[in-house]
Parts: sequence; structure tokens; C-alpha cells
Amino acid sequence: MMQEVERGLRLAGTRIVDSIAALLPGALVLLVVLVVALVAAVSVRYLVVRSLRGLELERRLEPLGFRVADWGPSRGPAETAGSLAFWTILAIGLLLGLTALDAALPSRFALAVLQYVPHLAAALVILIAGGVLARFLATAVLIGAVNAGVQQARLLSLAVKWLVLIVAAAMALDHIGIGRTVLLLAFGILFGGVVLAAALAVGLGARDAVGRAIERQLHAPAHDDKLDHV
Amino acid sequence: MRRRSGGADPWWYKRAIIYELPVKSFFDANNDGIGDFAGLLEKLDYVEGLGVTCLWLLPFYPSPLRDDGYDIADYCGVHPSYGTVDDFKRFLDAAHERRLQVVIELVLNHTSDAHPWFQRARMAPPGSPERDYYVWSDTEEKYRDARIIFVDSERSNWTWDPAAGAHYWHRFFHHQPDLNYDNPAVLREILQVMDFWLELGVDGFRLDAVPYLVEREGTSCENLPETHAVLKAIRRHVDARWPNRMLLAEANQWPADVRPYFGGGDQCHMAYHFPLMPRMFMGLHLEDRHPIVEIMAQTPALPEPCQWALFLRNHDELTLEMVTDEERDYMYLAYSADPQTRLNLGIRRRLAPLVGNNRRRVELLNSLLFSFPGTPIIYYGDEIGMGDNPYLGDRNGVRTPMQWTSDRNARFSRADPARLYSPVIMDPIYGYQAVNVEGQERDSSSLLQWMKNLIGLRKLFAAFGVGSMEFLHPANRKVLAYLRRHEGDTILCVANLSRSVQPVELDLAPFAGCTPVEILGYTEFPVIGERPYFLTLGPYGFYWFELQRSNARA
Amino acid sequence: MVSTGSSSSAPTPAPEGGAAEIVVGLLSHQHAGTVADVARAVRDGLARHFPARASRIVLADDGSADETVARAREALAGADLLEISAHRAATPLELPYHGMPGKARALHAILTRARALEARVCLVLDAGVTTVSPQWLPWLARPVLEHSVDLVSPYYDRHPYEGALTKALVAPVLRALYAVRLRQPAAAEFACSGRLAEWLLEEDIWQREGAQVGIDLWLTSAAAAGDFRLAEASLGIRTSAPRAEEALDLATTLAQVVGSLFADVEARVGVWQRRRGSVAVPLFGEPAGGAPVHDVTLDAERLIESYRLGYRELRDLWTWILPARTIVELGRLVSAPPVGFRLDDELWARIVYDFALGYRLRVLPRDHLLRSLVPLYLGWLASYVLQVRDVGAGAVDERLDQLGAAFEAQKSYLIARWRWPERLRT
Repeated sequence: MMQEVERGLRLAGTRIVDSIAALLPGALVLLVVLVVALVAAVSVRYLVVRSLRGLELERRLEPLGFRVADWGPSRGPAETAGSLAFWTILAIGLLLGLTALDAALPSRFALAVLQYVPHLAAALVILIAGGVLARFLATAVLIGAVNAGVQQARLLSLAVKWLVLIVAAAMALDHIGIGRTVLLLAFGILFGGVVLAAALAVGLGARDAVGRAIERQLHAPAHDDKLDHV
Repeated sequence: MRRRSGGADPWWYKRAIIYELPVKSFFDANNDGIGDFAGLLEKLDYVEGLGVTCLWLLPFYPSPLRDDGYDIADYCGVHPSYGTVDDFKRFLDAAHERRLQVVIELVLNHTSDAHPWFQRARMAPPGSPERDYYVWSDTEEKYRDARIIFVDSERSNWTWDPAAGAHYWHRFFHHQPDLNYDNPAVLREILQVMDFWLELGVDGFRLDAVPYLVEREGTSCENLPETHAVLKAIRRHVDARWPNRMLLAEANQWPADVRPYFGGGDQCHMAYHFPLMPRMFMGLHLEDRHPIVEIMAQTPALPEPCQWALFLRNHDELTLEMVTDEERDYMYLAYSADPQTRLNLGIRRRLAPLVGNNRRRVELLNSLLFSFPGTPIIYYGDEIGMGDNPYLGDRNGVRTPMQWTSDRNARFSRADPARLYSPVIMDPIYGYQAVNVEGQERDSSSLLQWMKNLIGLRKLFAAFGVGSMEFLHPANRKVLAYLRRHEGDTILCVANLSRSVQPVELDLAPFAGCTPVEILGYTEFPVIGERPYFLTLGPYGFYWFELQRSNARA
Repeated sequence: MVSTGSSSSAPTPAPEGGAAEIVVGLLSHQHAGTVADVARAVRDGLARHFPARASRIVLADDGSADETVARAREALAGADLLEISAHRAATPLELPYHGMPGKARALHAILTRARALEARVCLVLDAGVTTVSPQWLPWLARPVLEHSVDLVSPYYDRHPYEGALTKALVAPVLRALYAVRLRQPAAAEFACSGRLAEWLLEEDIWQREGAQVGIDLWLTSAAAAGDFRLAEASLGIRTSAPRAEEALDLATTLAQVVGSLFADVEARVGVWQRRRGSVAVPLFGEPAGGAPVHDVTLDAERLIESYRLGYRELRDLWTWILPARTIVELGRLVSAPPVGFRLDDELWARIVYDFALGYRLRVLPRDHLLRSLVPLYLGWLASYVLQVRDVGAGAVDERLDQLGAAFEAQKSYLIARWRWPERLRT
């Protein structure tokens, strides 16, 4: 009896020790990975901030019409990029560590999230760039269209602005992988619809106007072609 | 386009507008609570946008910081809190790229007692070359005629060093032993230090405490001919190897006593005009031009390449050493009702609080600063009307962090507020929520925008920097009127020192036929005739006129 | 070798390594078709009018891929006159411009050579001009050699509408700012004294951004800003060989020309804020004689239409640059009938000055700002066309003189705003 109990206890003890022994290297690896990730994150943030400052991003962007100062109340682009890099690396480190623990659930979760992170970051960048680009292009198109004598200049500029914004949003969503098919379909329908509508409108509704316009383009050169302004 | 230091203009310092700043107070890039060179680099666009042409940096050398950096422990380094020599170099290049010149501080007279030279000297046997870097004596009886400058904290100019078994000489704090300029090796070392910084590209040095370099028995040990000989040697050395660099002497003396520091144009290029500044404040408070005109009458003429450096406020107290006892009493009564704001012989306040945060008075004083003969120096923060904190002890109240935005720590730093080297100003009038760069950049009628415009105007007229000065003497003593002339240009400045509207009749007969054109708004005034020219000035109003001959350009 | 002139005497070539009194610089880039004629005209001009003076021709070629250099050599074979100063081809990054891509570099080379040869006068001619005659040389060079003029700028017979941008904007701004009444500034041809050449080489314009586009203008303004004597030489008609590359659209041309003008204005604040009034410059050469200029037609109504469209769509943008008063005045014009359409000179001058200020303060991206000026320019052009279409050449000159006077009268507006700028929108 006592022997049985003793054996049982020993068995239980060994099992516990075994499982701890099995887990220990994983935990150790987790710890090491976390520390390495922290070190890497800190140094990458330092490098990013430092190099972006060295580039003097704000100074270079301003002539292009991007007032970086308007973006955030206090953070410069360098700091923002720096902390983005910091948290990304730290998160990746944590997930890697969890994988090392060899627990089935966390590792699968970790893998899924890991695959997600770069997409998320890319989507964010696309959105921001899209917003800035849309504003800049809208003004450029407006001025260009006015100078080309297009009567619907403002409409054109608005169209370009929303086009860029929507394309940016769609690209961002696509990157995250949300509603890929629906998105594709929606875009197909939207664009197809627009083009078809335009074709119909031009073909049926404004047949004469288009004819006249083409004729004008073909026969009468634009008024300032011949004049040397300088 | 990259521009080398010094620039092509040998007299650049006469046309300059200098911006004085301590690196630790300007901007903190690494968020440790102390400003640094990386931060200063980030804010160079602001400085460039302000329109100033030259930066003067307070000491940034490695130091035990027992005298705010004026106790230098290594002449060829940068204090680790502020960055590295590489950071400095990067900042310097960026400044030059923006056509900003850079003047740094150099303390010639003494080092920190932590400096390796001093540590070596006290261990070395008497009479050895190492010992000879400093001034030693077995008794305290030598040089008894030299006054003690820091009467509050030092009882003697000699301090006993047990390791050396001798007394060492110091004119300032006992932890700042004076270098021995009778030893040629010391001068050689200092010249090497200057070469190090000039090689990096700095455009000039502010030479701290120059009157005290050499000691002689039976004298006050100030302004000695031997001291001037040292300055001449330094100038010769700099001129020979580094063209277009500038030396600015700090000699808190009467103008006539400062005059020798220019020599015949062979010592310092510039020196401060210390007595003018308190008299500007006094004239303003008395509503009488007399103190200002009187001190300018006492100011000797300078050799042509030389120039006065003018300032309203700086990193020290508003010093009242260069006034009479009665005048000092008046100044204390007028400007420091709160005894907390007095320190040594002066008043530790910034410009805006001194004049009761009255925008018109601030503008008037700045207009005088920018139109008097000399190179104006703006103390950081005064361009936005920053306040002070007299409860911070010593002169730290005027060295608080620059106020950039209304965010935490005035966005000077993102560190924990408790880590800042000094608390930011937080009172309801001058606090960073009310007074900050971001707000004033947006407000088109702010003091900052006003300063930018005025700086632009000053740069437009060479006469302000290099022209002659001539006072007019209208009957109304509340009005200060003077002419600045350079080549064909004549500028007439008229300022009302009083709080009420004032009429004035100016004798402008020599300029009969000229048209005064007001410079700020480019407005033409009636043509000057033979009779006295009549003007009315609003409270603390000032006019700058360009006197245009009618047949301007043929 | 075919000679265009009948002169039998030859010009005096400068001795090897010695000085030359006259240096003629030819700027060429893909000019194989015309360079020979230009070179012969120059040689004949030198031989006929300056036989006793040592002279030299410098061909500054900017990477021509055709036979330009060979043709020039061939045309001047025999006379020891020519030296070649060839450059690498322009990089594709450099902006196209009606003219040469590597112009600044080529000009710099010619002036450097003139300085080295201690020339008293340096002429610069474009090798693409088909109307260069030997007579051009004395007209350009004599004012410098005999009347101590420093810069001779050509005055060509042009149709009243030709060079409208120069007439409407560049010339009046230069006149108001630097007090010189040059009617056709920034021409490709000019003559300068040795003193001026030296000064120009020291100027801070060669490395400036946009030098390829602005260098002609900056040379003129540098001379006008310095202490130099300027003159015009009437040269008759200038026709240049058609260029292979496509002509630029108006907006781009305007952005380039006006942009380089504004950049220069910003760089010379200290000079122009102190100058007052203006003086006419002396005119040398053959007076213009009702030359047969090719016909140009401009439809004023279409110009007005462009202006109206601009007002309707760009008004919001303009409120960043123009004060309320100006916008209201512009709005009044929109509803005006085409016959009485007048964009007043003083209003136009204030608009240009406000754009210069907006350029300096960067209230908009600079390219946007410059391009949004186009409809306003067309508005002014429309009222100009309506005014001068039925008048003679003398009346046109008078009309342009009025415009210059308006820019002068409004200069105080510019100075006051420049010194104490007012932000219109924040």
C-alpha cells in the first residue's frame, strides 16, 4: 500500500518535474527572445529617429506643400516612425517567444497575428500617403484643368481627390485582407458603371456637343499655340 | 548651398543680429530633461525663420556645473548631457547651411578645479612646469589690492590646497583657479583649444572675464597692459590662420575702460556696452532721454573694424554695477519692488516682466536696441515675451526651458516633468499655455511676428549696423531723436519714452528738401522745410524714417 | 567655302595666349543647320567693322549630337579665330526650356573665357538665330567700346502680342524694382563689358536652383542691380530655327519665367527696396522701321473666357494670395461685357506684387501658386489686346510705358507689404 502511494507520488513528482523540464527551455527562450526584442526595438527606434532627423524630413517635405507641423500636435514624423518601429518589433518578439513555448494555441495565434502585422503597417502608410496625395493632386488638377480651359475643372478635381482617397482606402483594406472579394466586385461594378454611364451619356445625350468638340480640336488649334509669350 | 564659416564679409559681425541661447534650455531631443545639440539642430529652422544671423551659445563644455558651465573641465569636448563633438559638428554644419554663424563661449581666465591641468598642477612639485599652469603662493598676502568679486560667497582670492601645500589664486569661485598667463605654455594650450574649435568651423569666441588674465603686485589686477598683450597675441594667432573670425570681449567696465580691449583694432572685434542697458530702462521709467544721451556721450569712438555689442537682457542679472548709487536705488525702486528679484548688484528678471508685460514698452526698447550703434543681441525667449521665476535661486529664473507649445513641458522635452533641469514657467500671465512659439506663429499680431518684421527691417539698412550716430536735441525731453548715417543713407529715429502722446519739433534744417519715408509702412511724410519739423508720437511710439533726397537716382 | 559678306579683309585673330579685345560667344545645341551662317556673319562683322581689334570666337556647345561643331569649324576654316568649348550633354533631369538645356554652364564658360582673354567686350549670340547679320556686331559692341556702356540688351522688332509675358510682367517688374526701363530684358543675345563679365562671374546666380531656366533673366537683373550702365540696341527682326522638341504649354512657361523672376526678387531685397523712380536707357542701332512682322491673331473673347473660368474655379485659391479688395475688383470684371473689359494696370501690378509676396511666404506650394496666375495673366492680356489691336507701333510703346509707370506707382504697395507682411488666411 505504502509502496503504491510512494510510487504514485514519485510518478506524479517525476511527471511534474518532467513537464516543468519540458517547459523550462521554452520559457527561457521566451525570456531571451523578449529581451533581445526589447534591445532590438530600442536600438531600432533610436536609429530610425536619428536617421530621419538627419534627413530633416520636415524641411524637405515643406517645399512640396506638406506642412508636417499640421499633422500632430506635438510629435514629429521622426518620433512617430520611431515608436511605430519600436512597438512593431516588440510585438513580433512577444509572438516569437510564445511560439517558442510550443503551446499549440498561442503559437497558431501568434503565427496568424505575425502574418497580419506587416499588412497592418502597410495599410496605415497607404492611408496616410493617400490622404496627402489626394489633397495635393486635387489642387494641381484644378489649376491644370482651369489653365487647359476645362469648364468642369472643379468636378474633375473633386473626382481625382475622391478617386485617390477611395483607391487608397481600398488598397488599405485589401492589404488587411478584409472583404477582398466584395471589394473587388464593388470596385468592378463601380468603375464599370461609371465608364458605361459616361459612354452612354456622351454617346446618346451629348452626341452633338462631342462632335463639335472633336471638330474644334481637329480644325482649330488652341488659341495660344502660335504666340511666343516670352 | 553650403557656406564655409566666417563668410566672405570680414565685417559680418557689424551687420549681424545675434541670438543668445543656452543649449540646455532650448530643445531636448533625447527626452532626458536637458536640452541638447540634436534638439538645437531640430529648431534651427525656427532660428532661421526669426531672421537672426548669428548664434551665441553659452558654455557647453564638460564641467562639474558648479557655475553653470563657466567652470570648464575639458576645453575640447561637449558635456555629455548636450551630446558629443560630432553632434556639435552636425549642428554647426546645419547652421552654416542656413547662413547662420556660430559664436561659442571661451573662458580664458580660469578652469574648473576638476580640470586635468589643475589636478596635475597640485600634485606636481613646486617650480615644475605642471605646477606653473596656475598661480600659487605660500601666503595669502600677495596681490592684496585686488577686490573680491563674489563678496557673498568668497572671503579671499586665495584658497589653500592641502595636496599642493600652497594657496592658489582665483578671482571668482574658489573652485575656479585662475590660469597663469605669465607661463607661455598656458597661452600655447589656449591657442590650441581655439584652433580646435576654429578648425571645426566656429565663427567666433565670446571671451569670458578678460580683464583678469594677468596679476601684478600693487595693482587691482584688472585691465593690466600684460592682459592686453595676451589678447593681442590671441588676435594675431587667429588672424594669421583663420580669416573673418570674431572675438567678443566680456569686460563689465565703463565704456572708457572697455575701449582698450579694442586696442587699435588689434585686440577684440567686439565688446559689450554694459552701462547702456540699465540706462535704457532708466530713461523709459523716468520718461526722460537724459540717462541715455549722457551715457552715449561718454562712449568713446571705436576703430573702424570694431563694434559694440548691445543687449536688453541676457543670461545674467540686469547688472547695476555701472551706475551710481543713487541710480541703483532708483532702478531697484522702479524695477524690483519684489526683493526676491534682486541678486548681487542687479535684478534677475526677463525683459517682459521688467516692463510689466507692456507690449508697447517691449517694442520701444527693442526699437532702441535695433537702431543704436552696435550689434543687437536677443536673449532666447524674449522674442515671444517669456517670463521668469525669481524663486529658482541664483540666475536660474531667467534660464527656464524655451516655451514651444502649450503641451506638457511646453514641448521643450517629453521627459517626466520632474526630470527637467528646471521647471517651466507656469504662472497665468507668462506660463507656457499663454506664451509659446506655436501660438505666436499663428497669431499675425504676436510679438514674435513683430520681432521677425523688425529684424528684417534692421537687415535692410546698413546704416543701423555700421553708420554714425548723432543725437538731436528737441525741447521735449521725453522724446529721443537721433540720426544714423552711412554713405548716402540717412535714417532718422524718433522715440517717445513716455506713456502719453508727445509732440516734438525737430531741427532738420540740414535736410531741407528731403522727404522722410517711414520705414515700417513705407509711408511718405511731408517734405522737410526750413522750419522745425513737427511730429506727434503716440504712447511709447517710435518712428524710423529714411530721409530721401527728391532726385534719388539719376 | 561660301562667304555671306563681300569683305576681302579678314578679322585679326587674337595671338596665341594673348589678349582679345572682342570675344564673341556662340551658344549652340543641335544647331548644325544654322551655326555656319551665324559663324560667317560674325566673322564678316568682325572683319568689316573691327578689322584692327584682336578678336576671338568661342563656340560653347552643349553636347550636340549632330554636326554642329564640325559645321562651325568648316565655316571658319582658314581664319584662326575659333575655339571650341564643348560640354557634356545635359542630363535628362534638367527641365526642357525654349532654348538650350545646359545654358547656364555654356554662358559661364564663355564669360570665363572672356575674362581670361581680358576682353573689353563680350558678345553672346544664339547659334540658332537665322537673322544674324554682320551689322549686329557693331550695334551690340560699339556702345560698350565707344560709349562705356556695360550691358547692351537687344531690342527686336516684334509684333505687339509677341513676348506678351515679358511685356506684361517681366519688364515692368524689372523697371519698377531696379529703376531701368529695358523693354526686352532677358534676351538670349547681349553684349557686356569686361567689368560686367567679371562681376557676373562672381554673382551668386550660377549655382542657384533653376539656373537653366532663369539665367538670362538673372544676368539682366544682376547687371541692373549693380552699378552698371545699360543700353538697348535695335537689331531688327529675330527669327530662330524651329526647335525639334515640342513647345511648352503656357502654364509651364509662365511658372518657369515668373518663378525665376520671383526667386531673384527674393534674393535682391536689399537692392530693390532702396531704389526709386526709373530712367530710360539709351537706344543704339537702327531705329525700328515698321518691320514686316508675321501676323498674330489673338481672340480676346477666348482670353476673357479663360479669365472667367479661372475666377470661378480658382477664387478660393487666390484668397490665400490676394487681399479681399483685389478679389472684389476681379469679381466685378467677371460680369463686365467683353467690349469694355479692362483689367486695370494698377490692379494687375498689385496682383503681380501679391503673388511675389505669396511666393516668398510660401502660402501655397510654389508651383501651384505660379500656375494659378495664368488666368489673371490672360485677363490682362485680353484687355491689352482690346486696347492695342487697332493702333500703331508708337502707341503700343506708349501703352507699355503706362504699364511700367503703373508698376512703379504701386511699388510702395509691394515694399510696405514685404516689410510688414500680413497673413490673409491662417
